Amino acid sequence: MYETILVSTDGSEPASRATEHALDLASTFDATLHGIYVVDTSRYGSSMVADEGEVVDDLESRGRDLLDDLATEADVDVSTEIRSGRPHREIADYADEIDADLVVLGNRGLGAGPGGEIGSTAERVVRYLDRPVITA
Amino acid sequence: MTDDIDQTIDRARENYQRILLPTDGSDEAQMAAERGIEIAAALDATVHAFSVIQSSAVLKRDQLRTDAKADARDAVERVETAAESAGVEVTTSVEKGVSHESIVNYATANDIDMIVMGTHGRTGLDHVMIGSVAERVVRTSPVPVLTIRPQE
Repeated sequence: MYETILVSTDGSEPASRATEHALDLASTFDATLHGIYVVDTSRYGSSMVADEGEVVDDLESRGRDLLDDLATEADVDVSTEIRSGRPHREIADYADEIDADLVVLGNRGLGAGPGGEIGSTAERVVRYLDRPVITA
Repeated sequence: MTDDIDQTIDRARENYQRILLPTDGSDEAQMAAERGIEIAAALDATVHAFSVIQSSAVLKRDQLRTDAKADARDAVERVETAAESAGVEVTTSVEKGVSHESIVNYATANDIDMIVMGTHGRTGLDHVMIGSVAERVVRTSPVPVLTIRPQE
């Protein structure tokens, strides 16, 4: 039923909650777990022209740490992926590539507005993906 | 390794004991509810079939009130039947109110661990509109929400 589960993390508190759920469900369904971290270039890239490279490198290394933690915590197989771009598009593309049966992400990630409304990434993922999505 | 997995599965079962399946009686909602029932079966969880009698309909006239209530009962009974045939423990409830608010309030009051619900089809304006009940629930729910889009 759920053979391939994709979890998106950005290091936020809701994202780590989402990770917990993804780990639980992956074990329950004996699924392969994929973790993705997207360096949000629409957020950090264009406005930081001078040190863009350095910022992206820092974010990538943060992403790698988060995904390493995920792989360590999991007791199912984990594949990890780091991408750059607009998070919802990268998550959707990667979900297509691995044919994810379920996508899990935090509902108020780093893209969330100041009012505490649902994170724009989560909102877009729910709206645009044809696949089942859990927002945690 | 095997022990670890068993422990994680035990934890999952503890974390998901009550799954809320809101339904408006549509085929999309029923399909999502049936996915929720499959998950509940895997997790040994109880499902709560829940339907909201729309306030706006209630206010119009007695005829509508009767129909809306009967529709809500039919909707939860359809989910109940599916749960029972899957061997999943089920409770049903209908309430008057505004859909997304009632769903979130029910989740809080009944200690729900996860909500599973359908989103509208991708046709026409649905795709760009923010207003669906599912999206409002996603926005305000204190617990994880699994949204399922109907397959075309």
